[in-house]
Amino acid sequence: MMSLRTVAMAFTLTVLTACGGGGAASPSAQPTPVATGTPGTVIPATVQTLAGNGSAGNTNGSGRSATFAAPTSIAIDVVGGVLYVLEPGATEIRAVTRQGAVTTLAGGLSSPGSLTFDQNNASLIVTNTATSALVRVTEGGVFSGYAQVPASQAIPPTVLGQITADASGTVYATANRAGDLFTIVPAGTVSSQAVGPGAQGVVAPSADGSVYVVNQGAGALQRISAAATTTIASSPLLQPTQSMTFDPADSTFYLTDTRDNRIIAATMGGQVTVFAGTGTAAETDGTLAMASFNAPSGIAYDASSGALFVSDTNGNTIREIVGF
Amino acid sequence: MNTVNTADYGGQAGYILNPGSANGVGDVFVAMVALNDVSMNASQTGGYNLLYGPTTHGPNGNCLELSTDYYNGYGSTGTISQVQIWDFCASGWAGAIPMDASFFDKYVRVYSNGNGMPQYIAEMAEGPDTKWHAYLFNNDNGLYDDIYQSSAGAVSSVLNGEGWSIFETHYSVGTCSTIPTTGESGLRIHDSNTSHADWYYPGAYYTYSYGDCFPGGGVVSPYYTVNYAPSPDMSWLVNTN
Repeated sequence: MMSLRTVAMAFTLTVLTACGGGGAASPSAQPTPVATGTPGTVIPATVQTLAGNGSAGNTNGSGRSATFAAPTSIAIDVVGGVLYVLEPGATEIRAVTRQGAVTTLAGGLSSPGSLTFDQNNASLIVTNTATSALVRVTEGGVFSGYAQVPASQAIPPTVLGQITADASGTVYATANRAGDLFTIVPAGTVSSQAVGPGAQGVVAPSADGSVYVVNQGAGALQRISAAATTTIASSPLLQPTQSMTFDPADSTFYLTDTRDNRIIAATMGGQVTVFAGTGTAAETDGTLAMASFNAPSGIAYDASSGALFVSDTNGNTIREIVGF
Repeated sequence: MNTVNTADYGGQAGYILNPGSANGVGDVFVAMVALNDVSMNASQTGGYNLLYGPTTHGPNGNCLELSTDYYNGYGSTGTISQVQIWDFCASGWAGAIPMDASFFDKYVRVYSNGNGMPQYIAEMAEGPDTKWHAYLFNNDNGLYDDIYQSSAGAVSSVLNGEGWSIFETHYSVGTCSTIPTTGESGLRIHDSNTSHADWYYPGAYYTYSYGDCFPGGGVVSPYYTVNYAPSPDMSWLVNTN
């Protein structure tokens, strides 16, 4: 049985050939096509559009010939070199290569809320906002049960927010209204931990098992370990956080501010700044300070290319931030 | 008995409003108003306790929820009392107003059309700018203060368009007796039909109770006596003492 990773890469090769690219090399081995210029020229960090032309739709294709329908959650298979984008309204998952080739991986999801890529099993985990169930999505869009947050703990209108998976396949999910962090081990056992009103965004980058969560109410980025909960950064800029990712090379978290159309950076040292976006709701490519987003929602850091990928929900595009 | 609970066994009671229920015939909902109880001296003890009581959210795409919150733990000192705004068309938590002396002066009264408890009047409405606005009635000037606006044109699909007016606990196991008596009254929703636009009682709803503070509805003991009384005029009151 092929894995999701195998299928996605095979399709990528097909698209490149069909487009006349004649690519003989595996796309996952190619660098992201950025940072071109005269040798010696300093290329400023830029925001550019990877895929989507701004129109709402579900047309597959390459780059700006593709359309998206309010993309939200985003996850990356770093090894396979594929982004996965959730479109809750269309109940679909789209696959996007680093070169911008867009396909539909799966459709017919039930009340999808958020997704993450489980590197350990080369598959996606998707939440159901109506039932607080989690499903695994494998090749060909095949669904299978993964876990169920017990109704006694996920009383409606509890809505599972961003989810992430660590190297062992354990999934972490925030529940915004309930103020909880749920931990779901592969066997399906669910435990909950208090974060505070407005628990949002979660990453698990630490080898020691620490998980990082934003407490919107407190405007705090918190490190949660077995021993203690520690605030590592605090700022009003953190309060509108939708989701976040982590760049281990710079020890920096990047967070989407959907409300204010910005990307926020928070370092392990506690510095919080506006990283990109003018704040105006628009689809403008350019330098970090000049570019605009339109309700950025999902965000994922690609360690192999050093790029950030952002789903612009109201802009119906997938953006990438490179050269930083 | 105060017990620090390590898992969130939530509890709820109240009204769930079905989508399309503005006047029972499916007209589009554009506003919701309610008189929400506040406690003057709420104090919770134990590890983590979080009470939304009451918390209201309009059906049919309303982006906003207004919660009357009391919580302790979560790194805070003492019991935090505030009115909290949620925006389901953005990233959830959208701000909070402390229920301090200024709040009580401006917004809290025992209203003649209320339930006899200190209350504030909250309204959530879609404006001509297609934004969802959260308003609090300011007794100092007799006007509604516009305290928050969602993004223009945004529509929420949370819980498939259902609305609610509920009492909700998180953690709180063994501390139900310390939760203040709280409730809501005068819940109305407004439709947009130009021929008969008016305030209505929701035409389709159901009531329920669930969780550790409610006999028979929870999964964790101990249970406490509950006086839960939904009434025909869309009011409810919860007393877990």
